[in-house]
Amino acid sequence: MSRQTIVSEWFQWYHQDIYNFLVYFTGRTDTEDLVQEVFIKAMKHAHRFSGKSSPKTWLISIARNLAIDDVRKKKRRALHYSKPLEDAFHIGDHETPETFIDQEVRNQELYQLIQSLRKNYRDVVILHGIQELSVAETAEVLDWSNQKVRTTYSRALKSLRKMKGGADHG
Amino acid sequence: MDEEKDQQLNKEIRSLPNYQMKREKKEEIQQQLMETAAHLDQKERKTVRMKRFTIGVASVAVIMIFSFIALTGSEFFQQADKQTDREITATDNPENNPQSENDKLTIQENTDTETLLREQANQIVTLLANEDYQSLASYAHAEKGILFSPSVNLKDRHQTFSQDEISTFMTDSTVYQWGTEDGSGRAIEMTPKQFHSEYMYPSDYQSADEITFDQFESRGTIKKNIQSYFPESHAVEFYKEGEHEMGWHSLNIVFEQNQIGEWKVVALAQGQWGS
Repeated sequence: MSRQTIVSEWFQWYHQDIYNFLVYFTGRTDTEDLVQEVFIKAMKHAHRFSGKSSPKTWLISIARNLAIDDVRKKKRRALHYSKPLEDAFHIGDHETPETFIDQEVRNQELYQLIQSLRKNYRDVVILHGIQELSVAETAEVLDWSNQKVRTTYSRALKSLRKMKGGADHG
Repeated sequence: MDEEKDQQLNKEIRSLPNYQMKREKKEEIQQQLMETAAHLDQKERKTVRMKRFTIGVASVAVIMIFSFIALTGSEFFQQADKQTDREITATDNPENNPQSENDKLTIQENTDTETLLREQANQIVTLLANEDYQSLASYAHAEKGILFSPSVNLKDRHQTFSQDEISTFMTDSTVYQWGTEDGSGRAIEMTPKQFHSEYMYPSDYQSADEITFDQFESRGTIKKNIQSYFPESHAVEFYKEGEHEMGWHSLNIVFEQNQIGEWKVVALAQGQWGS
């Protein structure tokens, strides 16, 4: 099958999943460049796709790696320009999810709490919770065991409940 | 009780909005991807055609050689039978075989060059780790300077710095354009100091996982053109695995001889997944 056919099918089926994942993972909505980069990388490395996992899981792994590298690059630049790290996410006029998150205060609060979770909790909440990947798929993206996904997800929920409790009563 | 709360929270998480990419943006990206895919497919077809052609030519050559041997074989074996013991002894003696001695000398020279350049490359990596560009300047090729490339595909438009400019590399506040990022095509615009940390020394190459000599095959998807760009060069590559499969980095230190035969650095090129 030609690259054109593969990438066309994958893009049709998965571009929204990748976009949604990147919005939550990066905290920005202008992630279209990264989406494009994900599919370019995928088509260049299509021969490496073993077919053991679903293309969606493979594409999300690529998206996560690219987003990590992107944040790292922005972090370095931010340090060089002596700007705080948060500014790296807010260069330009792009909207953040906070500004249009369904207008529901509860959603906004929950979104912000998820963003403030420690890294591995946030990863598992975005992948297993928001993206609704199965335990096995989440384990594959994060290169964890299924058990680790279950335990970490459970701990992440506990941590969120604790923070929510603090927010509700605070 | 906790289980109920977890289920409720899980439900809330799953009901967070699902962001959709705008339709025009989606179509624009799809169009660009199709063009890139078509270009890659075309390139692949060309490579396959070239391989088939090469195999065809090689097969014809092999057939011709075998035919030649078959035709001249009987004469050859007759002559071989006539070889005297004296002739056999003469061949075994290296003094009577200057060609083989020359080969040995060439191998010896190549091994010496490799050892020398590996050693120099180690010293250069230490200097890069210490951001000591002032000392690095003395390793640079005086006439050619050093080409700093964000990719293993070297291009004329990548920045070349002279020995003097290299001495002040870390204090130069000029924002240069170093090339473009793979995939996004964004211009890489930064100061030399920023370029150093992002592209020259993003990984600890002092603890490299692999150090290779004249490894001219690309590890990533981009064509490595060091050998064709600097045909008289030798290169030492420091490869460092990343936190994830695609997070590896490599640093290619390219040497060429100057007019008095000393090996000097002509390029520093970084490799990574997709560049």
